[in-house]
Amino acid sequence: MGGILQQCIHSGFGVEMFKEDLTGPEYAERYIEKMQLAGLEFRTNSLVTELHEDRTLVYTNPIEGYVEVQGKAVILTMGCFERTPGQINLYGDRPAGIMTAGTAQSFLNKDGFLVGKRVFILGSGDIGLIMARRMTLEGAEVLGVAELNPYSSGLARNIVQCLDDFDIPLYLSHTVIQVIGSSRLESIIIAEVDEQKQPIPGTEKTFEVDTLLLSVGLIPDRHLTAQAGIKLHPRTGGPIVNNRYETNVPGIFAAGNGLHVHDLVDWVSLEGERAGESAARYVQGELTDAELISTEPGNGIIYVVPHYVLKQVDEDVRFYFRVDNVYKNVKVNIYKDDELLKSLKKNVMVPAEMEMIKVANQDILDASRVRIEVEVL
Amino acid sequence: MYDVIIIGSGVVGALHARELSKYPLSILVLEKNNDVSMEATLANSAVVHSGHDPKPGSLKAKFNLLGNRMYRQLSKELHVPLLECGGLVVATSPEEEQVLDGLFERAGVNGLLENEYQMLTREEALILEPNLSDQVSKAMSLPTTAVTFPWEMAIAGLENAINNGAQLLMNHEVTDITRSEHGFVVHAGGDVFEAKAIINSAGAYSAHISEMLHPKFFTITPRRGEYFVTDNRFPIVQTVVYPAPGKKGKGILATPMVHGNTLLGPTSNFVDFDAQHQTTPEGLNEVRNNITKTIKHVPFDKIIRSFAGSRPTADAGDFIIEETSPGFVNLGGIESPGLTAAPAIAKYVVEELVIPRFSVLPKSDFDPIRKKRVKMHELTINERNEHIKDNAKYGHIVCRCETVTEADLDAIHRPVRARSHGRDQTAYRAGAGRCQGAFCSLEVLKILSRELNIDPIDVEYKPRSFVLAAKTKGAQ
Amino acid sequence: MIKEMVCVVCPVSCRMKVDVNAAGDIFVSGNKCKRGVVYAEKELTNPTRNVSTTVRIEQGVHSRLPVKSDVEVPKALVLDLVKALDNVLVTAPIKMGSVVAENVLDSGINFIATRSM
Repeated sequence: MGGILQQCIHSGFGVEMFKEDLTGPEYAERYIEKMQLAGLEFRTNSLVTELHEDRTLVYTNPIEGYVEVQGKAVILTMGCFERTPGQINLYGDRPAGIMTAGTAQSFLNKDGFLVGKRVFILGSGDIGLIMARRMTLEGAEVLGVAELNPYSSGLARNIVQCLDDFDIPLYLSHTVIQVIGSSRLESIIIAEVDEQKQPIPGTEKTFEVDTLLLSVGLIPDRHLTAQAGIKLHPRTGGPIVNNRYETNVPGIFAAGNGLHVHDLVDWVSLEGERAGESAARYVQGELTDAELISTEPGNGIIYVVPHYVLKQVDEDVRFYFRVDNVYKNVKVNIYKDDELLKSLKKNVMVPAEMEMIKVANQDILDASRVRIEVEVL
Repeated sequence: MYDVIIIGSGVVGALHARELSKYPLSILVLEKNNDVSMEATLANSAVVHSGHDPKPGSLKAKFNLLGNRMYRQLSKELHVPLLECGGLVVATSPEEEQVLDGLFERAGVNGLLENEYQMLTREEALILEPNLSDQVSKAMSLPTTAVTFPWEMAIAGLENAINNGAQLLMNHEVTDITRSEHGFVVHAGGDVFEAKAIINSAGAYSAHISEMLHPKFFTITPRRGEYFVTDNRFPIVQTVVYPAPGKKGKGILATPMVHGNTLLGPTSNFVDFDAQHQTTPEGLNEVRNNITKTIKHVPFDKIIRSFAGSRPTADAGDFIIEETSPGFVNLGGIESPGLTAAPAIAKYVVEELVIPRFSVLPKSDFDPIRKKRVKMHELTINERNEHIKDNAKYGHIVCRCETVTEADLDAIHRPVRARSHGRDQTAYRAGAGRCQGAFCSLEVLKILSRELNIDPIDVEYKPRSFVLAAKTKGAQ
Repeated sequence: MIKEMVCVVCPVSCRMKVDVNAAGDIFVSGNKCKRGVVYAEKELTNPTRNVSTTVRIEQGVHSRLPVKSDVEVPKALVLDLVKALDNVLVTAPIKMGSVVAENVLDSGINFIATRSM
């Protein structure tokens, strides 16, 4: 249990939930202990292979075999997966030594397997930055990190503590244009990109490396959603939910990285708590239907979760969203229909960092839609 | 002393081994890689073509049609999936309609039966394939077009041959061949073998092998084809959609795969051997730009992989199938439609060129059936649980994207042993799904290490490459 | 000497200029709050880091156990400390929080297990 946290052995977890700086496994173990104390039943080594609209699901493990169960409610907390070498335009051969940073992390932190000795990292996502430090600490040489955007997609503290501390260069506005080597990776070529993200001739640099790790984005795991008829959001990649974290299928809820990709585990937990509470209320028949208020990303915003708010008295709503670029000295405005409801000044906003704004539930109950947008001052 | 040595374990070599194993002969297959079928058979369109397209009178035309008619039975005997989806060649302009008319005529000349090719209006074509682009004005239907799983076909052919007495040696690259009193002496992988006859099915390297004994008479140039693979949860087409053919062969296809994915491609470019498996921006852009001419709603965001395959193209343009000197059969330039033609070529070569040298009759105990493997996804829950009772590994799913169980990885112990991480990812589909092995590769590595009884450090990824570089903490 | 520094205390990530005069006084500019000054002073005088790594474990579900330093470690010592853990070998079961290596390299720094296994 504990999911990806078990391989995230670095610290930075729990600052909000526990007011402590914990490592991933420690954070996971606190919740595992809570679960055990509560006497909850659980299955490990088990994979859910089917989920249906009536909340029946099928799981399998070596001991029980395939088992069909029906939940009064189901909560999807399957996390996310990494964009793969196949999903980006990686040109050249397909040798050994190209994998996602998270795969290399599981090899290294769980079983002590080093996947390479001379490493380059494509993408400045947090897992890639963290792995630059881990591979260095375990004796590999990390030659650099290339990021397609003119800004890092990872947190600033990771740039400082994982790259700068070890003098690992970060090449912003760069990408890998070719991988070379047929059996094992031998070298890569990177180039600077222009504003259209096209490589600029003459800016090529070659690095002799045996490993290329990718940290180019995360996508919610949705392998069960289609069969159950759960609608997905094109930008988050996860289910569309209301402020109870309920999907369009009654009784099926979603939270965490399987809903939309987070930066902070604490916010994942908060979402999980909210979804869990809603599921409990659903089972007890306490949830009633209501009209929907839609939430809309306006200027500068990629998406807003939850996608709908129910027109009924409930807890205050936490809106999570991301901006589409680096913004300095801006205001975030929340509109109720076309009326400005709330405005917050922000010194800096970056796509790498999810934003959260809490809005009092009763303030928006008479709205038909809520829009969040960035206003450049 | 072997009766016959086959050089190369692609689908052509594999089906020759199987065909030969019907006779009381000693057969050895030599493969230079650490695994079988790692070259042209590994990466191609997987289409069993109808035979409409090759130049009339060519060996390609002859063996394509014959091979197509053998595939259904072959797939049944070897338990290899065959998607009998049919094909459509589509025209998107008046010029292309003319090309299509020419192709229609050619299909007849090539010997397709009346019910094996048919001209359709746009409306008729849309019934067979609703996802045709709006520009499609006319189409030729080819109902005998099908899709196979080339790697499994080659592996299954070899397994069946081995079960009927053939032998296979991997990591045995042929370095020299000389004549001897009784036939040939073959140097491979540091060992020396003797054989009365040789079949050269070395694909891209067949000219090189031929030249060990003969003056150069053909050249093989790799013709690279670049492809995209899409997520199998979002099928795009239900039939093979061909564009009207142009100068560069059959053009860029949309092909439904046996596992539900769609293959988009290939391009067609002559390249150096070094570059034959390299994807390029130009090539993949060509696929992107051309595929939308024939089909619509192409989900470019559902692409899970791109790759480049290579066709071993001979300078003459046709297959080379000949006994170049007594007992030495050259199979050169077996490129598209080579996958389709392979069983027919094997039958011809074995029956007409090889067996007459040995004057033997078929064995009475040849078993044409390769045992069906358990496919959990085809079974009901109760049936699955029966298997799990016998073998708990069926309940342990290693690859969640493709629901590959630990028991499916028994390929490690099958006659054609899977030893490499890359092989498991492709043939047994652990890691072939949308996460591309991100979640299962550690577990696959550990299973390979345990089952092969080797250290994880020694688990290979591809021929001559390893998954791991070192263990931490100075551990050995 | 003027040094450029990114403050990592909060997500604002202030880009600061830090100057030290001959007397060792530290002047910070570009920071939006006073925590930047504290961070800059520490970075200049005695930068420290949390250290997380693994040690070998036998009879566990995995062959490495995650561990961390019990206090922040002087930056210059990080690589040496991690290397010193190469010799540590523990046996499962082990409880989260137990000390797996004491006073490593006589630094007074202990490493503790960050999960039970």
